[in-house]
Amino acid sequence: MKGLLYAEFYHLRRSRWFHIMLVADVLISIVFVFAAKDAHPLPGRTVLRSALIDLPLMMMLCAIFAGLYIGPAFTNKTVARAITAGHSRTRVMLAKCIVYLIATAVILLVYPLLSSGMACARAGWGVTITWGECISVARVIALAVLLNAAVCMLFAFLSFMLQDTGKAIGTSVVVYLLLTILATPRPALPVWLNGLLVLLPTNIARDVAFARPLSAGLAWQALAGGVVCLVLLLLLTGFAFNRSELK
Amino acid sequence: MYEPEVVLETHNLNKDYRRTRALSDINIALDRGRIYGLVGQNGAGKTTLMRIIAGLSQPTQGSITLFGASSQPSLVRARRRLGAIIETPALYPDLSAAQNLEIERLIRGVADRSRVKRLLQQVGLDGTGRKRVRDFSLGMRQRLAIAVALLADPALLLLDEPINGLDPMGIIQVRQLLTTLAHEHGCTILISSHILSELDQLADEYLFVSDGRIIKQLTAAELSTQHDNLEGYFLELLKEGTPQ
Repeated sequence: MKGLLYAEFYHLRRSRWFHIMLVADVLISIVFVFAAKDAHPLPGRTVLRSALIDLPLMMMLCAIFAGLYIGPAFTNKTVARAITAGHSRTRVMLAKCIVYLIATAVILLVYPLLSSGMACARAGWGVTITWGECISVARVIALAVLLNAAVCMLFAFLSFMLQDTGKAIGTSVVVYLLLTILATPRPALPVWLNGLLVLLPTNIARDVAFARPLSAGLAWQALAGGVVCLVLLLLLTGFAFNRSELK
Repeated sequence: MYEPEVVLETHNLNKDYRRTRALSDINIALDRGRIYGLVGQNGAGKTTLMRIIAGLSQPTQGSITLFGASSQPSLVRARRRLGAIIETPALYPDLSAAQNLEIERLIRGVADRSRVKRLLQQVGLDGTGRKRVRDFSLGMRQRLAIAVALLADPALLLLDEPINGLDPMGIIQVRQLLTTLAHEHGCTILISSHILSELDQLADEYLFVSDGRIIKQLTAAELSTQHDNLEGYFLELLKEGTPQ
C-alpha cells in the first residue's frame, strides 16, 4: 500500500492536468476576488465564509479532474500494471482514491485560502484572532473538506465504473449539475424527497458555510453525513471494481 | 528459498463472456526456465489466458496455481514475481521513460534505484532523457514496456506480442535478452506472437490454441522431427481443424 501511495503521489506531482487545474483554480479565484465590488474592502473572515459558500462552483473542476486523473489509468492500462505487480484491486482503488481526494481538497481550498488571505492583507481578519477563533475556522474548513470529499468520491466512483476518460468527465459533470439543481429546496417536489435532499453532502456543506456560528448539532450532522457518505461510496467503488472486467 | 519446478498450473480453466466461451478446460503446466510459445489465430483465447494469469480477469470456472499459491490472497502476493506485457504497453504517456520506470519501482517496492538506469541502458532508451512517452514510436514504447516488465526480476514473464513495432535490431536484442533470462536466470516465459518465424527461434515448447482450447502441446525438438518449421506445422494443424 505504501508503495502504491508513493507511486500515486509521484504521478500526481507530475500530472499535467493537476497543474492545469491548479492554474485554472488560481485564475478563477483571482477573478472572483476582484469581481466583488464592495464599497469597503471586506475582512478576511467574511471573505472566507463567502468563499466557502461559493465552494460548490469549484466542484466542477473536481468533477472534470476525476475523469482526467482516474479515467486514463484505465485507458492507458496503468491500473492493470499495478494489479499485475501483485497488489489487490482494493488497495489499488484505495491508493488512487486517497490521492485523488487529497488533490481535490487542494483544488477546492485554493480559492477560500487565497481570497481570504488577500482580503486579510487588505482589511485584516475582522475580529481579534484568538485560539477559539482559530479552532472555529479550522472546524468549518475541515467539515467543508470532508463534505466535499464525499461529493468528489461520487465522481471517483463514476470514473471507476465507467473506466473511460470521456464518459467519466461527461457523467461527472451531469451529476455535478444535478447536485447543483438539488442544492435548494424545490417546492414542486414531495416533502419526503426534500427531506432526503437535505442529507446530501453538498446541502449540508452549504448549511455549514451559512451557519454563524456553527452549532454543535450541525457540526455533528456534517461529520456523520460526510463520513457515512464517504465510506459508503468507497465500499461501493471497491465492490464494483473488484467485480469489474478490466479493459 | 524453495523454488518449485512447475511455476504455473491451470486447472480446467474456463472463461465465458456473456454467451461466448473464450476459454474451455485449459490445463497447462509451465516449468521453470523454459520459453513457451502460445500460438493461435486472433480470438483463439491467448490474451484471455494471459489476462487470467495476470489477475486482470477472473475465470468463470477453474483455478490457477502460481508459484505454489492457489488461494486468492496468496495468488495476489505471488504475482509480485510476475512481469507482463498484455495487449498494448501499459505506460504513463505524460511521463518520461525513466519516470515510468520509477513509478514501477515504487509500486513494486524495489529498493535499488540504479536499476532504472541500468534497465534503460539494457533496452536502449537511456538517451531519451525527458522526452515524454506520448512522443515515442511504437518500437520505443515496446522497449519501455519490456523494461517495466523486467524491473522486479520476474520469475514468470507473460509477453503478448512483445516484438510488435520493433525494428530488426530490436527484435534480435529482445530475443537475446529473453533467451538469457530463461536459460541463464531460470525465468519462465509465456510468449504469444503472430510472427511465427520469431517464435520458432525462441520457444522451447509450443502451446497451440484454437477456439479457447489447447489443441496441441509439443516441444521444439518434437516439432522439428515432424515438420520443417512452426509456420508449416501451424497451418497443417489449422487444416486438420479438429482438436487433438
